[in-house]
Amino acid sequence: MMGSDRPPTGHDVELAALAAAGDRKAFGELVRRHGSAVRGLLRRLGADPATADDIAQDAFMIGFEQIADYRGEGAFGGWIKKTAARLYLRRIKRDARLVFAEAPDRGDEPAPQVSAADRMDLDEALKTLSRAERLCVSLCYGADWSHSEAAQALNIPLGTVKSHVKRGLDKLRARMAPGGGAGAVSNDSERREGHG
Amino acid sequence: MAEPDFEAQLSRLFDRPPSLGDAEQFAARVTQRLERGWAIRRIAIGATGVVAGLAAAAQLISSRFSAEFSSMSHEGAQKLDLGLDKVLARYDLGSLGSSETVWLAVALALAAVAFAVTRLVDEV
Repeated sequence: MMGSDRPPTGHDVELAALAAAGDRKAFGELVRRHGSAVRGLLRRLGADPATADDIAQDAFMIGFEQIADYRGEGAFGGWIKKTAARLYLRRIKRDARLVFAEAPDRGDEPAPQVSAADRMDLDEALKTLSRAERLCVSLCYGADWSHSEAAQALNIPLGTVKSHVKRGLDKLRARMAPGGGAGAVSNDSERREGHG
Repeated sequence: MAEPDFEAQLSRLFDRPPSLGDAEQFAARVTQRLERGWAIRRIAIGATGVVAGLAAAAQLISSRFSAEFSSMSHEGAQKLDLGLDKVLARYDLGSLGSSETVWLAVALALAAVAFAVTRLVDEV
């Protein structure tokens, strides 16, 4: 496989095992498969496209170095996305840009007219969230972190993370699913809280 | 839409990667960086090996010469030792001990530099 120009095929776990044995082409295939997802997550977390690409590259480089630690218990995509999210948080902490000031509540403002096509556009909807809400929602739903993992990584109380997630979800629901109920507690929420 | 449905849909939307036009270029950049890092590492390891090999060879040759001189002429060997002493004294290395110690120190220094360079390359 190492001598062939054809990209390696197979399941992510098989490619990861090949990469752990030093097969860089196998890892390249993993990058091809998951690159956009990682870059997309970083953008959704709030990184500008250039920064997102830089961090995604670093995440994959670290991923290659630590590929032996990935034993296929979860999806490779989830594993590398967690690495990327951790790198992003480290970057914004280093740049001292992690400020959790409450954004002014725009709840009284009339909801903007949203077309059906835009309704399911997650990226556009995320832009309506405050920085903290966006970060918490994207970490918990995009990188599959539990609330407590997010609280620990962000160094903020667990309750604050839950509030940011709840407010963020309310805003997303209002934009993306205007007819949705607001009071129910989902299994998904319980699962995320259960991690903590 | 009920709340559980909405959250499940949200998770699905997050799982769906955005369609980025330069996905292939991105993958190529990462692969290139991997290859470059690998090549530099190989060169660094190779260079360290060459230096260590040269050092070992020099040691071997010098010790053999010394032994031959010694067998040929005790006086010659004394001169050789005297010359070495002069060199050590000139560079103030006499306090370090025998020539083996110097070579060992050089080898360790080279290994340390090679390690530092490798780490630096990793960091950059």
